[in-house]
Amino acid sequence: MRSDRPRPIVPVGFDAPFYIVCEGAADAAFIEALLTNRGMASVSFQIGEADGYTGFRRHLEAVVTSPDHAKLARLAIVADNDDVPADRFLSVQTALGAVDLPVPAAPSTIVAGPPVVGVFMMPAAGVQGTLESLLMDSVVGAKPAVAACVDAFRTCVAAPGNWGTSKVAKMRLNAAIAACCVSDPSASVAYVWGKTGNPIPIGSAVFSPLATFLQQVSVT
Amino acid sequence: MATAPNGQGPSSTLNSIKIENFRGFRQLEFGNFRQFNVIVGANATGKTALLEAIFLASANSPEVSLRLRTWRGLGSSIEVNTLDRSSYEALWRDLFFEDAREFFIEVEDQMRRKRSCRVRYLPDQTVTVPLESSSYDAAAVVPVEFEWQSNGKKSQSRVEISQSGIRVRNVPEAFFPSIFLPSGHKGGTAEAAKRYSDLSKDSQEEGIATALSKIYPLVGSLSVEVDPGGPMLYATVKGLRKKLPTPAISEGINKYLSALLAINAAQRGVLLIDEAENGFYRERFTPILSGLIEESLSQHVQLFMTTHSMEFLQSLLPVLKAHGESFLLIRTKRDHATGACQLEGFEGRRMAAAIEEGFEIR
Repeated sequence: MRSDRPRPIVPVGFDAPFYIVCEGAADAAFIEALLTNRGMASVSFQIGEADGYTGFRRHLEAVVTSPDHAKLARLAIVADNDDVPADRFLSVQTALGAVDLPVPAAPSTIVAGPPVVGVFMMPAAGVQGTLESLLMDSVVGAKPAVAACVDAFRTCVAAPGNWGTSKVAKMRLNAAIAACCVSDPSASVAYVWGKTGNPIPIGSAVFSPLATFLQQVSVT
Repeated sequence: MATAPNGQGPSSTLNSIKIENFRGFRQLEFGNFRQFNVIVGANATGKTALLEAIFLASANSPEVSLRLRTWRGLGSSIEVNTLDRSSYEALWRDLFFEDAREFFIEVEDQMRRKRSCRVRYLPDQTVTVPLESSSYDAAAVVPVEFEWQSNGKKSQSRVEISQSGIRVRNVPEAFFPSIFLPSGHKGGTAEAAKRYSDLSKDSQEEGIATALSKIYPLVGSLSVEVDPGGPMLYATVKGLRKKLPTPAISEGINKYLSALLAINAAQRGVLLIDEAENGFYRERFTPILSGLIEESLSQHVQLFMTTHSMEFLQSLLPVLKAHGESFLLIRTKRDHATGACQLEGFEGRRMAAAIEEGFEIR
């Protein structure tokens, strides 16, 4: 949480031995919805938001400074690959190393602790993209007609051609949500869960690698 | 040895401490103090005891241990008439870890100069007080001995308590100036007046009023006046014709003034502030902390301050960002298996990160 954002009156502490760090509110809401859907009890994990990939180091510094840091048994980091997957994974490795936490050599591998540490890069190891890419992949599978219309819309409105993978994914997903989410067309990814017409099928097999990975970290 | 990350600081600052059997500390070695050390932790984990250990090590009279009793609320007077051996020894008992009969504290500064304080019971020399005795001097006992050592030079001192009062023998030289502002400290009256007067004699007093009015603009000039109770600091207050004694203006103003004066009196030494947030309005935390840090930097004073307040810690953020490398967060905790207190150190950068991220750090 950056200094220009209001801090909670009650400061954050650890109340679960499995801590998942992600880039922001959208990621946190998705991971919570995913793990709940896959049967993981909400009391068994806690999610922290690092304010983008540049915020991982600061967030991890905060984690290891917390009075409860010794209780931390398992740590998972979920990050976006963006347009250069190797660079983004390296930035996560650097952040972990800076605070003397175990550093996985590759995405989706788990390093023995304490604490046990694993890093999942979205949409998948070595693949360009972001959370939105992963979510849009699920929309394509569940609602191919909507996905096709969104792509046609992108062409029709002549969206900038120089957008990278990440920006294109964000545009496609937001357009799909706006078109389908009847109760709140302006819902953001952070707030779409539970809304009527949410086009993202949380039970999709597209999310299984992430769900399986987080479940593995939680029991390692 | 539990150490904080390596860092730099003024050469006169304390670098490390070693404690054996003092209060809640059974055996502790902790190093890499910074110029500004913020101590947090739950109740009964050793925050105040750490300040007391530094204060005792720097002291030059066993009398300070009796002052610690007063500040702890363990009694501000000694009933000499009813003092038997048991209650006599009880005067010192809380200083020792459990049933230990000796404690040891050693501090080392960044020039590797050491100063230690060893305190032990001398049971073979204890004389039971005859309760009906009419000669209290004859009943005086010497239950403990204080031994200070600075760079190989040893000095022993004993407290003798009799009806005629407390007598301290063989007072050694002070090692470094240290001032302790206990948690209930509201700003001394005569003490503050004396410190201000000392500054005034050297024509150094102007900075104090300037620093004070920067945060409390209603306060103007300061002066020492003589009251029936002794010398007292007075201040002009905007809108009022007459000066007011500073304790009568506000507890926060008086405490801040007292801390500024203490920093000036402890030049090139150490200022220990217990529960530093007490008495201050929360919106004043940041300017007060900035003022104390600036004054400490200019006077080369090392600060150790405890706090329970998250708002106080959050208010440190702007100062931490400017002087992060000069800060150390020290967290005290008690090992439930051994009952002993322990310390953990975190560099200023991590402290700032945790505050920025909204994490609990106390």
